[in-house]
Amino acid sequence: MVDRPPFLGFGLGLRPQHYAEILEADAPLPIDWFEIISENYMEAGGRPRHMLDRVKERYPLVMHGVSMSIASTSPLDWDYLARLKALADHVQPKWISDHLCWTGVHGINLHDLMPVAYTEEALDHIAARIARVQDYLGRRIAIENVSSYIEFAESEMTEWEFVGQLARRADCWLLLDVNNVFVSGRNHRFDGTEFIEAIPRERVVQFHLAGHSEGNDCLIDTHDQPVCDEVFELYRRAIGHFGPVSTMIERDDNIPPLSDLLAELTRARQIAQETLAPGQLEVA
Amino acid sequence: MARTLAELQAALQNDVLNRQSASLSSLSVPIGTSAASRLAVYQNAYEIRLVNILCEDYDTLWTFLGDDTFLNLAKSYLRACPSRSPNARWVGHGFPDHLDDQPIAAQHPALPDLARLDRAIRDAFDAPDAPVATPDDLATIADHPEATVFTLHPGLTLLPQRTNAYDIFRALRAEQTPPKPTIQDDLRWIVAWRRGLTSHHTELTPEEGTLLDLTAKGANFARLCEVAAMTGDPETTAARMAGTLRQWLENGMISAMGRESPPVAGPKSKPARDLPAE
Repeated sequence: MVDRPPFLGFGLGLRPQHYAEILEADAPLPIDWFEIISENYMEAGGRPRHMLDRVKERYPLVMHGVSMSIASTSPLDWDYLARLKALADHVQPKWISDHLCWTGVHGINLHDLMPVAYTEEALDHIAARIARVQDYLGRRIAIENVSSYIEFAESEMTEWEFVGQLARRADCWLLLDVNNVFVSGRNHRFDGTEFIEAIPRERVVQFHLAGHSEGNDCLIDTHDQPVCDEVFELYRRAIGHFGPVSTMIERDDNIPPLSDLLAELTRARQIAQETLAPGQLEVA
Repeated sequence: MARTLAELQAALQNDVLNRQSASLSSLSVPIGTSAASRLAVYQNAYEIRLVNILCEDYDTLWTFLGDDTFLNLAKSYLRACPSRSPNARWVGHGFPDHLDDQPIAAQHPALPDLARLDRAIRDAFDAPDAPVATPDDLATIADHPEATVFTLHPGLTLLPQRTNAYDIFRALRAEQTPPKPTIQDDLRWIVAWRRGLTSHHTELTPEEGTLLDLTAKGANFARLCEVAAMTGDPETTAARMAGTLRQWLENGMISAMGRESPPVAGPKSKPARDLPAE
């Protein structure tokens, strides 16, 4: 796959709480790139756009959305996609990603990453929609596996079979969220390593590492905690399997000081260095 | 018979929105766990996430009402107006109008007004960027002042209110005890806007409020002067208008001025609501 996006190194999700520290640091921070939440910058102006432009001058960016609703059975939201495209034209991201989920039907938006039934019908439906979006945006997009708490009795294959087939059929990239593999694995009693090893190597362009919380009888993907040891160990297996893949810490709530996230990023970097051969982690 | 993807999504969405359980028969969970409990993760997350957005967007109203009353109003709004925007930023946009129709607003009309203040300041925060005219730009209209119209900054919202919501708002922002909500005889004009990267708000004089309202509606400078001559001392109209215009420019409220070009749709001037007689 000749045009696979470059290895960017180790990054963070850009959060407003850290703008000042990022932009006013005396010495370069050990952050190779940032991921922005696309929807947070779709409004045209003010502080969010101002800060985005300043970060863009200093760091490579990727765009990560939460509202494409690629698996929805409602029509694609072309107004949303136009806004996404306009933002991408402005940001010039290394790639654009969203989730393998639906966020609503019949005009309603639940603002959540709702799970997909792993059926042939869903494969055909979602692959066709990804192809339309990619045609419109003029680039491949990366699709991320989500955490889930339920599965559908209608499912005809495992999640990892579905994700792998979808990537090939839609000719898209994959964003592998290692925490989501761990959370869903615990919730549905599957082995995260089996998931990871079934995903086509050449399709994965990014890893997410995040924290989760304990629910009543399942893990919940809250992104409000540090990455736990077990997720870091699963990351070790993932980077061993896929090789150098751009990796980031994704924290969305209970945002800690930047130094805490940098410590987590350093740990990810160390794991990658321990796992891969010298020279493999050179940033393009 | 297996349900289609569309049927599965419609059923699950309905269960999440309305805390029902029609989709349970389609859900698969490990032995020893409960499908209802797993479904509740989505139901709870939906409510918590969207209520939190309303809390953030309407933090002054939330502080004033306290948790229980605010949460009840937020939940009633979300039931009546589930989100239809892909961007969570717009989830709460209809909340002030929803409050207008609630019994508590009939008792305390200041509450929807307070919500509108929160909303206006929130909207100013990331409204589209636009140029800001300065007093120096007045020279560009020297040859046609009467026919000049002014384009207000798209982040500006003018709120005509007949309550003491702004007094409550300022007290709470200053962490002081707010006054009780009351209806007021005279119309008050509150304006929220963004200058640079910072949202601002202030109360205008009745004359200034009327003039800014007319400006938002596209009135030219001659019309503004005409109205000013009727609302104040005609002898001092020119001086007052010069002062008002300079103040707007210095505050960054005006994006452009030119000959009879219509203002952009961005600035919002809300009609004063009809209030019941006390």
